[in-house]
Amino acid sequence: MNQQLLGLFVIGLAAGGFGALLGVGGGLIIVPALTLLAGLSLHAAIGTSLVCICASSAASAAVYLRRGRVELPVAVELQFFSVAGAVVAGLVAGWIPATPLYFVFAVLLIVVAAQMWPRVEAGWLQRRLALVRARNAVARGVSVGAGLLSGLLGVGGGILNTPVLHLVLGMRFERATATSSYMIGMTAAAGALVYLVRGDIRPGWVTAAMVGTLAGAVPAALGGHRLDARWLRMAFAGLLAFVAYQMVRRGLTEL
Amino acid sequence: MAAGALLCVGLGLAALAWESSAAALGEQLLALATGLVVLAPLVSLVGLTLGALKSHRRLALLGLATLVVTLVGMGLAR
Repeated sequence: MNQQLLGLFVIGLAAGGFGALLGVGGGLIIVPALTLLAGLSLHAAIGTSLVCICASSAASAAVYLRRGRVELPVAVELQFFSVAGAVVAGLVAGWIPATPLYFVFAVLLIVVAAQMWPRVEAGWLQRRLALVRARNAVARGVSVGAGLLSGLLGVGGGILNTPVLHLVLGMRFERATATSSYMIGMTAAAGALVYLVRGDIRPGWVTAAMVGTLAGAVPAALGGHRLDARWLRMAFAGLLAFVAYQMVRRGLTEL
Repeated sequence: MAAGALLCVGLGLAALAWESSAAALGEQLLALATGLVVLAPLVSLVGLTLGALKSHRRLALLGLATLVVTLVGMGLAR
């Protein structure tokens, strides 16, 4: 039992560190690691990941709010749409068997890995978003999508929120990431409550992973600027591709 | 916001006392910690909604709607 808790702490540590260094939610690492390494069911891993995202978001958003970087009117408006998506996805996820979710998660990992690869100057999604005209409608639609993604797969949705705030709504990048940090906390909380009420989350596991996430995120946020971002992104993209392969293998064995 | 957090701790402790015969205290405390972490963004939104009631009516309504959607989701999950 203690060994398993230590394992969860280490998984959280890696997820928090990478998440803070690269500005992505730790869910991309936590969910596969909990299923593939710690042996949790996919639904339990998703619920645990959502609680960890709540914790890391609360820590970072508190700093951003104090510095006045969060665009609250925009955040509250889009938050409504992403929370609606997260609640629907959380409720539906209980009825969906885990096997298809492995494949959906693998596709998401591959898309993010492609976006992370340093040679890609601006991702396909980002270039398309920059051209759209019905900005508010697109932002609301993408927010619903981010919520669905969060509730269904246990990720924060920041990979969609930040490009939308920056490229579609024209927010400065640092304000977009700060606003996204605030938004993903509420989105993850809405999904996590559904998983918590349904009994998919074990508090002991959550606490170990959550403490690890916070312990990894703080030093990474403080000292991350000293590392070479190009190599870091390449290593992370490679890791995501490998995890995607493992998720597909796991899905195939459960067919 | 601080008052909201204190209210959450109070409610959590009340629930803990009520259910203390069911499971070990350590597990209950971990459950309480998990619940508080998940409730933190909601408490922040409650504070924001209350603060916006006078001057930013639309913002307050959106905050309230978000809270309602969250609570309805919780209710349906039961």
